[in-house]
Amino acid sequence: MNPLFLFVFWMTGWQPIAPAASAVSQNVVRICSLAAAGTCTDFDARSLDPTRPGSWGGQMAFIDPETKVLVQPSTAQAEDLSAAISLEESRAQREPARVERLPDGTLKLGPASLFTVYLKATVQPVDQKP
Amino acid sequence: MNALRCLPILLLFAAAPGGAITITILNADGAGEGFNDPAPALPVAGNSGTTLGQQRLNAFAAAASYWSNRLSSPVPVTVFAVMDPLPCSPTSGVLGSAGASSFFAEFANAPRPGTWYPAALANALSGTDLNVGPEISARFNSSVGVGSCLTGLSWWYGIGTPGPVTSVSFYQAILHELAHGLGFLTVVDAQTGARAQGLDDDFMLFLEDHSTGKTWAQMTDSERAASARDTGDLHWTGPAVVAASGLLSSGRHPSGHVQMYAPPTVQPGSSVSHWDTALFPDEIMEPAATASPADLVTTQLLHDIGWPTQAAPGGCVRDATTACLQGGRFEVKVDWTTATTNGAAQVMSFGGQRAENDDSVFWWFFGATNFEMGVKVLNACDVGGAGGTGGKFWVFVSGLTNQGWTLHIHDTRTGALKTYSNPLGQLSQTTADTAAFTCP
Repeated sequence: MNPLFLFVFWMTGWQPIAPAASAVSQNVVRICSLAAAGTCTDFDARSLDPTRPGSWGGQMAFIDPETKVLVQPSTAQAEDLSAAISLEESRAQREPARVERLPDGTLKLGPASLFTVYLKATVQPVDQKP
Repeated sequence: MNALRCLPILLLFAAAPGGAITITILNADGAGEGFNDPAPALPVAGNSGTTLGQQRLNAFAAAASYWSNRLSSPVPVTVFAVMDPLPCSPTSGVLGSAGASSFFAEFANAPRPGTWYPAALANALSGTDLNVGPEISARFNSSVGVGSCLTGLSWWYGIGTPGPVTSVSFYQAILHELAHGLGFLTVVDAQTGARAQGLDDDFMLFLEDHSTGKTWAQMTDSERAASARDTGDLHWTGPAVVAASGLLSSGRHPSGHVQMYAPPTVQPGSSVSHWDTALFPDEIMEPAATASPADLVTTQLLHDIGWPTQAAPGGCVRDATTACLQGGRFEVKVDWTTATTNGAAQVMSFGGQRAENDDSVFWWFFGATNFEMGVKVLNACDVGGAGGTGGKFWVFVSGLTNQGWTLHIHDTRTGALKTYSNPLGQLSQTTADTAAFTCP
């Protein structure tokens, strides 16, 4: 797409189609799809919020190798299962920061990669856990 | 991949009314991929989507809702969201990445001069959209468990419920990464202690090293770098967290300060910008995933850095003497009385875990280990029942005490209030009120 056209598209205030927010709640989660020409749908955030923060990993299930019955894992088995998957976060190599002064005096710090956090997973065979 | 995703896009939305927030998820995936993946999927717990793409979007929307119901801003927050194949091998890989698109300082209404604020928060504080384009960018790996990418692992698209042990909760990952994008992050280089362009950021203002008593704003770069490695001594001192920290059974200093993650070797991305793993109950913003994280102090930290916050969904605020059941809709409190004194009942803990879930809560009066009564509020809205018992919220109360008590349950959605009492000197009776509150 022609960058000039895009600039005009942007400056003219392209506005996704957005139905009115729910009257029940003032908290709105709006989903807009670029693939659908910017069509947006609003949802009442209170109806979507499970409230509980939830769970990262799953419940542990263990099949007894002898009886083939689903049982509660022993502490050691649970530790083995947990050790098999690890998650950690990291920041990318820091790029030089850029500061821009906006016309009203506001300072803007970038680029975005300075603030990006990467969530990484490692899957480790159980027999290789430390 | 959709080429449009690279465009600068100005989203012009009407601001939400005060005390609320609109979070816009800008699904930048192309047709047939990522969040638009049409592959059939069986509905899973908490997620009724029937395609892979819909389940992913549902989980994303639920995570956005979580923060939408807790934070407040007159300026919408836009999250640029894509799912792409990201680098991975059979044993390791990137699940996703996210973060604020920029930080701002010296803007109109900035609470403190010379201080960086993440874009979404700067907008909230200034009341204007300082940022051109999305305030947060998020990119997640669509290849997890596919082919040779993280073999055996999979995303779990259930919402608010655990999945198989070989899965990672997509909802939980987004919840966590969005918090970083909203400001649960310092831009100080934890390795060197250097501040970004020589300015403080709003996160570091509440960091204190207990061994020296200095705050990060008072430290030199080398002192900050040392503090980032001072395991157990790096504390969060913000007043909102301190006020809520009594709900923690570990990871909390007697002063109410809460420990931040400061391993002896700096882990960029993890050090400082997370709670310490010593916290119990585990929090959603700890560096290592835990099975059932809570949010006892995380939202409070966002409040400390400047976010206007809302009460929990339904208006109920959980504390030592208040339980919030059914998604926070029902505020539950108990007053007790003896022949000589009276007080407010407190929520029990078992093994350090608060004895409250979405349906039920246990209380103590005189001693933290002395169970006195239990209350549950059940959602029977979808239950048919003779005699008018269906289509209601039910209340059940029972006690192991002959002291007097009065239970107050406030429906924060409708304003309805119910009280149930036991007279002093009478052994508590079990009460079942199957017409307690109307639905929905």
